[in-house]
Amino acid sequence: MLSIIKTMSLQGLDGYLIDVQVDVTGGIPNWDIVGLPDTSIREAKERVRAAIKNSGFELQSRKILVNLAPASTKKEGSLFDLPIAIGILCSIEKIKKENLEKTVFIGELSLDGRINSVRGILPICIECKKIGVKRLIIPSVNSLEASIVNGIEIIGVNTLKQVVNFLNNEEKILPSKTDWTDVIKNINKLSLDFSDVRGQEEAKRAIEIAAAGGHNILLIGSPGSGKTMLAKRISTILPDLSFEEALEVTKIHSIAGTLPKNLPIITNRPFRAPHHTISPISLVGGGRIPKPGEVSLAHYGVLFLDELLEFNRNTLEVLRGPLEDGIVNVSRANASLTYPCNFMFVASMNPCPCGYYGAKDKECTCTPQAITKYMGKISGPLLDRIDIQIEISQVKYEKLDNMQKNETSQIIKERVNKARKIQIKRYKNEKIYSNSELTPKLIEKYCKLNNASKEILKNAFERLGLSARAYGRILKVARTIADLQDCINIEKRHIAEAIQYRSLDKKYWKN
Amino acid sequence: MSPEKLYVQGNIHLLSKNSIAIVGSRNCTQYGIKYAEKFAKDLSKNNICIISGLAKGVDTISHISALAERGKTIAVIGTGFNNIYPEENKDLYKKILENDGCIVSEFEPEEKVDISKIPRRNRIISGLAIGVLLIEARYRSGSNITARFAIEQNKELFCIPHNLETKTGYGPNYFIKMGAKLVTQAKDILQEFELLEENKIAIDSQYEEIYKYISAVPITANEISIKTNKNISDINEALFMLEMDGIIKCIPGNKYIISE
Repeated sequence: MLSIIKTMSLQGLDGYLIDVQVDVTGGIPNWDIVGLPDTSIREAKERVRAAIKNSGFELQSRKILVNLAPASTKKEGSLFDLPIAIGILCSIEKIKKENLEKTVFIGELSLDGRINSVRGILPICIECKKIGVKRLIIPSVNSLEASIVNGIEIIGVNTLKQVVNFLNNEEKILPSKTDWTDVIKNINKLSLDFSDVRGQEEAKRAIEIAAAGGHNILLIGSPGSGKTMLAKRISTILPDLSFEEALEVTKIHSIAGTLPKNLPIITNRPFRAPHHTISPISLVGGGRIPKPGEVSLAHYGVLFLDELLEFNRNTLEVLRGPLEDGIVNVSRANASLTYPCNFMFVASMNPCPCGYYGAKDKECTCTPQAITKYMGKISGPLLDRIDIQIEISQVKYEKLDNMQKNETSQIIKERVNKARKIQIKRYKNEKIYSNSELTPKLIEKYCKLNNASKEILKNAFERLGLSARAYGRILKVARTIADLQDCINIEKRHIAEAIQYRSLDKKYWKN
Repeated sequence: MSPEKLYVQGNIHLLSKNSIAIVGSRNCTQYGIKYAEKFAKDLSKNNICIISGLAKGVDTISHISALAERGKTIAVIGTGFNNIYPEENKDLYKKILENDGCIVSEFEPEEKVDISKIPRRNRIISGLAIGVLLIEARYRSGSNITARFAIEQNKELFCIPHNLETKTGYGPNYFIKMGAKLVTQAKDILQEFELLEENKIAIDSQYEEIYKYISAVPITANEISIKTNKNISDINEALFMLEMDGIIKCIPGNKYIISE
């Protein structure tokens, strides 16, 4: 007898519907799965057989044929176990058919009949809602994550037996529900805070500007000057994620399987700090079975590359596209996928090979040539995408002791939020959200200078020997500084401050 | 031998200003050009008027450098106003007058060029100045005459040192041996007259508070912020403006010192 069960699989960030067609007939006992299954699906046979048996049902020797439709696309993953098992039980009339209407099954079986968690539940759930599925039966471990989507009945189940009982109306399971506003209220507060960083006022200010305008930032400093400490706190001053943004971030993390167990949805902006031995593929995403890379996991958050120059040159160069476009296209034999990767790029590095060029109490032992060569390792095009570069110097212990004002992340965040709002309002017709996205044409339109500012910029270029590529960057940063102070026009002082955050343009790097 | 009368064109008040005469060879070396320019500029920055003789070489460089720094300059010429010598310095003559400088001559305006009379102006050059700086002079050079006048007139004579083997260094080295003051920078001259004032350079009043914290010891914006309790954005603005004015300098590590 034939039965058709609905399930869903993932392609990139989106789910797509799959029919699991099961036919159980008499004949020579045999079991076949067709429809381009991968190894993990072929192995489902053994899991399903054992799970059915261990759930107390008898599976007589029959001829079983399973087809995964559409039959032309490759399928992978263990989430087909549950729908196959349900299909078989349905065909041998252990389950009443009327309850299968508009229901999607997802889950991996273990041999004793328990249902294990799967990855990528959230995007599946969103897709289900879109195509009008009424009920979703999923592993109970995943139900918290799925329940953030409203308007669809989420049934979390633990065992195969429980599913059968539920479908035969012998057991009641309440749908899981989560309220977004509740989640927001109970966000586990980040333990990091900017008030932990003391004495680095200049660096904090630069980071605040970077956060307010979405600018990428490079921190240059000797070992122990606090680069990493500062970078780790950047995500605490970024504006809160909106529900749509949170959903998108969670989708990516759901697919990558990096979602925290106790949270249905990611509410804090992600902070990703891959080690410098990372390969280009793990950075941008890909692999035989394409998976989102670090750039996508940092979507709407911060990608921090500590010790930038230790990264393989090839690895760094693959960042150029994602930094510019905010998306990654991964083309593989199986599929061509697009992952979003709109992140704030933060990098840190030493000023020279020995690490102490310009340090206060340690002598730098590098020759000028060595320093030039070291700095030359960052490619121009990559540097071109970093608006703010600052040098950080070590703060002495005695100075740390009696320190004035220490702003918390919350206070800084409020200012950042305000500046962001101004930008969103200004660019509502331009399809961009922040100053960092301004194109040369838009710079001309939105970063108009008065004569005094023009004069100062011209002088700066002559006297400080700034490079031409710095021009647009300075204007963008100046625009953000003006926004932070709620000024409509860019004034002389904004330009003056913006130029201070172009450390690598200072003369002493050009030996 | 004092002049009977002086013809003055341009800003006559300059004659009563503190002035240093810079003299040297017409046929000067790269060394002479470099240091005539440096001294003229640095003295001008300190509000000193530069006197010279509108001749080729060191004279021309001194006048031009003074004008480049928007300083004042006096040219004492050895001909009449209407017969500027050399011909190619006519433009410079006009430029000095346009920039509020002044031209002095003891000759009638229509007096023709007489090369043998030109050295007579040297005594006026040294006479108008409070001190004379000798850049370069060969064994028999007119500049040596100016230097000698300076000694006779009880003016200070300054010389820059030269390699003993250069011919153009003969004059300065000779006068150093005789007791003239050896100078290596404009500061040396200013100190002699106690004209050196700290903070001579005009500093915008709004940046003055931050400027006070910058010295020869490197300091970062952070440390200034801690000391002044001021906003980092204000400090960065001030540091930038001061750097643009050439008053302070940024060194590796993003630290600031007073520029020399």
